[in-house]
Amino acid sequence: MKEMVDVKDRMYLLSILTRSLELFSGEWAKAICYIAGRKMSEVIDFGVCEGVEDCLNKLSEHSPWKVEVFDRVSDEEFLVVFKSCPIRQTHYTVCTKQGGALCQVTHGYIETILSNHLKRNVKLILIHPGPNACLKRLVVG
Amino acid sequence: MKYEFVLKSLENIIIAMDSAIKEYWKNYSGMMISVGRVFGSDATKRCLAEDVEGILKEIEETIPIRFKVVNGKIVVERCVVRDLVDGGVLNKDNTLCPFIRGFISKMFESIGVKATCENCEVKL
Repeated sequence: MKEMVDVKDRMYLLSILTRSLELFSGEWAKAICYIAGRKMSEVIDFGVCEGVEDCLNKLSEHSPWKVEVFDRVSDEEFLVVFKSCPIRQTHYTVCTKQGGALCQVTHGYIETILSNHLKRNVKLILIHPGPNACLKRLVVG
Repeated sequence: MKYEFVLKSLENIIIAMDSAIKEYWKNYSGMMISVGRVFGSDATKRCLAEDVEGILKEIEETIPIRFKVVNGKIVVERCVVRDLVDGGVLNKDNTLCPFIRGFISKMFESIGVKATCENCEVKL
């Protein structure tokens, strides 16, 4: 029970902090959240990854984010599904809108991990936020 | 186990946010007080409290913090930031403490009371 309260408190804190940063600095809040995501990924190393799918599988094994390739549009473009995401759980616990500054933590984290392992530029674009999963476009440059 | 894993990942995000804010604003303490005050200003638009008791209740409903009055002093009984500092997740020199202080002072200003939160005690 105590752990449940702790989880909820931390989710509230994250949500309040991001909302306040948005009120204070507008779009700059997204940059701060993106940097936070990048910082989290600095300590992650999965070793050698053979392509996007392999990297996403390893990411899903070692982190609370569970990401799967939904459709392979081309060699450089994928539709990916975020099945599990602590940020989305936070949004639904605290009743805040998805797709805001807090989601940039996920983008910064995933993009940096993928670009570090694939040695290529990676960009995530939100297509559809949902209650149980989010659909995003992954572009490898 | 599941809760522990989620808790750990949320704490990692909070640590990263704290670190990103420190990197973004060199004078983060003053900036975070302003951020807290802006959030407080937004919260007071929906606040109907007219006295100290009411405003304490309002703060408790907005952020994860609990107050208690001991010998006429308002002390913080539980605070999510203090929990994180006590648990070794954040340093004492973190960005969230000034944020909470700024928020509390702005909330009290809405009822015309000047208040500061120092060492987990609200001084009016």
